[in-house]
Amino acid sequence: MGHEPDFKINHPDFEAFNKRLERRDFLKKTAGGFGALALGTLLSGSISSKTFEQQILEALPTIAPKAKRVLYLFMSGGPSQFETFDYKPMLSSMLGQGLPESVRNGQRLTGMSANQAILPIAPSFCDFKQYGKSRTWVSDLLPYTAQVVDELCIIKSMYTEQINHDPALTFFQTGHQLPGRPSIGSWLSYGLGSENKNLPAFIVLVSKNASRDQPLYARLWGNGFLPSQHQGVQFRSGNDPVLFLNNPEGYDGKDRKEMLSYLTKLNEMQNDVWGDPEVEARMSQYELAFRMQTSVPDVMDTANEPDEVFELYGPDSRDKGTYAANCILARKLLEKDVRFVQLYHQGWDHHGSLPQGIKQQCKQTDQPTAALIMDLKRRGMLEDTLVIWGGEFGRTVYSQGKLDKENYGRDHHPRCFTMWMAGAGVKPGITYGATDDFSYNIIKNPVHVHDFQATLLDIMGLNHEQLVYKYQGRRFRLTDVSGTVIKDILT
Amino acid sequence: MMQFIGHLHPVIVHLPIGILLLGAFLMIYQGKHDNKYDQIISLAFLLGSSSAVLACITGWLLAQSGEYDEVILQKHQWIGIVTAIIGWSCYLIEKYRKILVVVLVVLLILAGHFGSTLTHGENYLFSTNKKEEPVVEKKNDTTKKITPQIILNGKDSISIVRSNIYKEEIKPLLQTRCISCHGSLKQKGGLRLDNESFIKKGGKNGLVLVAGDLSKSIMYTNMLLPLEDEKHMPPKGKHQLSATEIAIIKKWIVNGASFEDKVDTVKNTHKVIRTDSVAKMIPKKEDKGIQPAKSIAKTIMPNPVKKEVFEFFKNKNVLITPTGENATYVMANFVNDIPFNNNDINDLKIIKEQLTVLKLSNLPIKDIDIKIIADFKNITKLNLENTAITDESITYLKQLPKLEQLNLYGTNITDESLKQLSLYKNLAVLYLWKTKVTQLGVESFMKIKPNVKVEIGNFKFQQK
Repeated sequence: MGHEPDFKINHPDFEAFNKRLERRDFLKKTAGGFGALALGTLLSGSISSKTFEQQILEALPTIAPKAKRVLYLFMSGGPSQFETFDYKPMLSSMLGQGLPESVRNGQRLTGMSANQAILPIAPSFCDFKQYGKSRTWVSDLLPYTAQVVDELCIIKSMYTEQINHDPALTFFQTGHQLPGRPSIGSWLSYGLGSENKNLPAFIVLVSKNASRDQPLYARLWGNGFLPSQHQGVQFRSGNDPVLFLNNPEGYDGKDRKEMLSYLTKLNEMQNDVWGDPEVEARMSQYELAFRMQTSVPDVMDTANEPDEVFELYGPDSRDKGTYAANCILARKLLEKDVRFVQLYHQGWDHHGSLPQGIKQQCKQTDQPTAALIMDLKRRGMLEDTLVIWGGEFGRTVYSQGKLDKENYGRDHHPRCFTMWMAGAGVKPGITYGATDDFSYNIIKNPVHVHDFQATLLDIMGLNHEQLVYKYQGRRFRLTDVSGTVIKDILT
Repeated sequence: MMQFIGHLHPVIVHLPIGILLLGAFLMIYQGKHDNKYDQIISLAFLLGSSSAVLACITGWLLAQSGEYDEVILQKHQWIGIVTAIIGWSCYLIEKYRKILVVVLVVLLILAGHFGSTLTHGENYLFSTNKKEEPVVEKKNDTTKKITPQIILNGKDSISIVRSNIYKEEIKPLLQTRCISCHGSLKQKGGLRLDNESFIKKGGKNGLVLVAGDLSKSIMYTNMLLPLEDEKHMPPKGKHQLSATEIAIIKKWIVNGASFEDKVDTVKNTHKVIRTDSVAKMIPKKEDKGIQPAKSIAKTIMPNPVKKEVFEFFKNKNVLITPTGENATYVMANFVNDIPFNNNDINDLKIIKEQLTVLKLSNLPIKDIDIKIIADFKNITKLNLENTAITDESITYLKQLPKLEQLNLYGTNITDESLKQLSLYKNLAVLYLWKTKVTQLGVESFMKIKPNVKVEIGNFKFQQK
């Protein structure tokens, strides 16, 4: 078998961990002599020299990665599938009719619409047309995405168990509905490390121009129980993308460096005594922060981008912090080999006045998203970057509250919704899975959130069942205890 | 050296047992009134307890190997240490010697018992079978033969490789870890794992192996149970399987748990798809099959990149990452090499056989640097975007026989390069956005190379 232990332990984390163990052992040996060493090991009772993580890593069968980077465009709030990709022409004649009981079949509703006397069907207010060589149906609200539809792999049969925003978001990002586990980007940082050592492996950008109907929490890009250098770093819009990164007033670069090197010495002493991984994490974060003082302003500066780029990404793109401007930044970060970039755009939670709301959302995101695909493509980056677009759940076929042809609302619907992926590892120009005539139930090829996560890891060259971390006595994985790689959509 | 001393523990450990017991025996023999053996008894306790200390030290060194069950080891260790202390007390405190010697004998027995549990396993003492030597079958060495056969057709070659995962990987594992309880001498749970028919038959509780289905293959799932579980295999106290060994068995079951020979054809391009026993695919000298010429054998697969080499490039801030399983092929990226020094490209000569993907985007490289790269024959993907290279580079790169993807966007290349590129045999993807090539040049290139995917970046949105 091709398992070479000496090579498999090449992950930076484990190397660091190894070194620390060696250094501690060495110190003990020289400081206290043989007897002290013997006593130290006797008392600690630990005999096995290989850590659990090392053993795991040795047994990890690596899959040749198809993608080197991920760009995740998270449409927070739950975009409606009826007004975007899931075309349901039959509904147009059913305005206001009650949803047949045979469709819902007693499935649970949210507390927000469970008390409604009837569940009146709300047909989509927008038209759909077929686009591209793949003749894919796309709504009129996404005229730009429609032009790049041959690059997309649209999954219409996503489903989740979570019916409200926070658990659903947490579930999507961490594989579990309760907070406390590492986010996808943190898992990738842990499993694959960082390519560009001057920038974090996991960077988050949040649109400033979205209507913030549902909150986002930093724990969504948190490291959970993984060492904290794997947490996502949020880059803010404006002049100070990373808070407190610039030198305080009165300091120059040399002062700062000197101060940090003394601090490192102190931290190293502490680390030698305690060996707490968090001390190491803190040291690596300080070092990274220092390197970021030069790398971040460079990458965040879009002044040198030609006009043609701003035209491609649309009018918002000159306004820092908007979704469009973040898309340009995302591309620049990916060019610098950042492993995982995640954009959040809030405001898709349309319980009422959906037509008005979703028009606004699509206007803000449609052109930049499509531009990003084409921009990556012409730079030769789409072949090793996986792009993902989607929310945490879908929306119901029936209207919540007032219903007329041009004004209605839709409630949360976890049983089916649409996402798309594009770029490295996925087949372009295909549609996977299908829903019934009411986009209420999945009739073909259901894809669970864990299946999606397993597929994502597979494309990045990791086996979701074997990327584990032992914490509080058990092994944790991103996909918890389920998840199947959707081979049909892979190239 | 330390390890060697540790290995002496099983020898030295018998000295205190014998000598201390001799002391105890002499005390009984001497009886109540006589005291003519007192000196000898003292000497026995002195020698015995000294050797006990030696046994403790060697035992501790042996334990560092980590091969033993931790819980039993802890018990053995502490009882051993206390035994040595009581031994010394017997020597020094003559007044309480009679009480101490009783404690000492009990401790000796306990320490000895746990020691033997560590080496022979938990059920050794009361087991009925006298012989527990694993049966090593030498005769099926012949089945281990692999016959690689190389068929050459121009640029690629195909090897036919005969392999048998069961005989090469699984059987030796079962022999060393399982057969002592599940073999011809002993059939715990009515199960034998020493040949195909017995494995397929299972034990008294049913099947242990379901080809392709891990969750139903008890012989696999039991290995995953916690050590404390009574169904965990191999049982607590026995030598455990390593994570890698478990992974081997897992892979075998997932792939159908075949006992038959498997014939693989392997296309010897850089994209060798690794099958189960890929390590065996590399032709060995002993093999009697058709021997490929030495040079061909070399192109089939270079040696994996060594850890020291990874370390070397890491210190130079050059990112070297394997492209797949194993470090046979690697990619290089200079994104961290700040400030970039053109001489750093020269270092890549160390890994010129293994280098398949090279990224030099956005770097101040010149045509002269490309001349060096032209020597890295296994490169399949080359990123040269946003550099100052010119048509001259493209003439050098012609020497790369396996080049499939070439990114030239943002360079000064012209239609002249396209003419050169149309001679590249394996080229499949070409990026030409923001170069000096003309529409006409691209069209005539496409006529010669209709299968190459050319990206000229002329995409424009249709405005709504």
